[in-house]
Amino acid sequence: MVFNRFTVCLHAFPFAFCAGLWYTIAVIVAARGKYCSEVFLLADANLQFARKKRRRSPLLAFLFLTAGLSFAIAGVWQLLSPKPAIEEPFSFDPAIVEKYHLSPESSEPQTSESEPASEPEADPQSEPANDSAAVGDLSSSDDGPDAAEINASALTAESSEIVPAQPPPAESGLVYLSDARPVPQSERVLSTYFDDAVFIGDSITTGISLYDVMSNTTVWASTGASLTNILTREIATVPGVGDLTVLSALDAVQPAKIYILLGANSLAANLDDVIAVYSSTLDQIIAHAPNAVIYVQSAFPINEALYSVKYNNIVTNAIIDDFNSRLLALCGQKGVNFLDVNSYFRDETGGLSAEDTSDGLHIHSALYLDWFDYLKTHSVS
Amino acid sequence: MKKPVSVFLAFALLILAGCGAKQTAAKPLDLEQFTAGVLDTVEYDDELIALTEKNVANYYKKLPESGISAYKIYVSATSGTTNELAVFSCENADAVSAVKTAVEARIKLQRENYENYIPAEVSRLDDALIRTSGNYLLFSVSPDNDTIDAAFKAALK
Repeated sequence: MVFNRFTVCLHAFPFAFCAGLWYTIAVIVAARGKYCSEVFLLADANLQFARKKRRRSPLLAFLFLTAGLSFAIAGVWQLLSPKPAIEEPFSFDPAIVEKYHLSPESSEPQTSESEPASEPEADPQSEPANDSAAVGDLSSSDDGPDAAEINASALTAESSEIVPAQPPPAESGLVYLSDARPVPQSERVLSTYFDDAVFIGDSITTGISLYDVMSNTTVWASTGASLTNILTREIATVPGVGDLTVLSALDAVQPAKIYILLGANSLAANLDDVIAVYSSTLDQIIAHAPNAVIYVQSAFPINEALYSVKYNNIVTNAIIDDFNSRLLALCGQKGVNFLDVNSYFRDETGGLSAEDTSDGLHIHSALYLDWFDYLKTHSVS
Repeated sequence: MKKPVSVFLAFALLILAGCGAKQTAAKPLDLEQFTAGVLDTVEYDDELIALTEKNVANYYKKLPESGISAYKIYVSATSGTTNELAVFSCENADAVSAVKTAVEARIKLQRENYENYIPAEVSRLDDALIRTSGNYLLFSVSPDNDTIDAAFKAALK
């Protein structure tokens, strides 16, 4: 039963009714001269009315007294009764909530002073280098510790030239297999940069819309999406048209920028095959959106301990690093941009911190803002 | 004077009878409070997040455009599980039926999503709970549907 003023009045009514009835009977009896009670304050007045043949006066007194007593009892009851307990609403971790409610737009003023009103000029160094190496040569053993050292030193040199908004927590796991390099740090772009962008990917990418991280952008992603089904499933919702395959949606929308994040659900397979499928996928995307700036993002690191429990397969961060290195070379070959997001999320062990994930693969909602912070500071014209 | 007194006695009895009837009829369900209680009580093996109005159509593609007066939907925040909790308050029986169809389509979509991704999650979808009571519909995929089912029944008593 919900206690409010109405229900309390309703329950008080019978008591007031009895009291009023008692009073009325007393007045009637007194009017007949058989008994006169001085207990009731209004009895004399009503007695006078009754003696003047105004027979309705006891009835009126009864009505007013009943109503008055109802409200009086209700009021006293309401004041004395304890307030009903109200359950606390569901709430997330305050740290996550704090970040979640900071929309990208709301965080803009912090950087707007240093940002140009329009999109920044392209950094000449940010153009992807063409890679002459064939995909089949990617597994050759030309690389080694030297390549890794060059990679690390190159990133360090670039980082020293441009002060990063937030430096990578650890060194990149990439090995350079060709002349191709990741998109270096650039001037920070505004959130409007993503107005005409689409994000293509799997369950990690679905979080962009789920967490409303960048509400002005378009997300074509689905849980379980992988290199083998990304072009066949109807995961792209086009307003006014419906659900389309990615290629059909590209034909219809012709986005200016395309961000791709795939591979996480395919890494248990032979990497040569995975890269071959990725190559074919890129070819088709490029063919259907020839004017788009394409960004291919490296596969995120995993927390191996949590990942092995949840997904029960053999993927390790070493495999992911190998995949990303080959993917970088592939991007160079295709002339598309490679974003080394992996290096941004990996910890000192080369993996994803247990604090950043619950299942070893998917990052927590709070990190999506960090992800976009990286994308905003790594762009090409 | 006997007649007015009788009339008021009858009036009072009617009020009391009405009050008694209120206590036995189904209570209106506070969706916010119900889902908050479930999330506090059930030990989910994943973080759940509320769907915003903008996102609902991406997850429930066949929801009717009218006939739903309120809803509260929580889905897996990481997509690592099929955990889901949804409660709909509908305006009539036809809307309840349409929502049930949309929920069944959602289950079918989730099967497609997870069968080659995390096959173990598909068995949870097999045990999905869909319960209707009056104009309310409950949909749950969780490790403890029995508790949620009992809570739903209790909330409407």
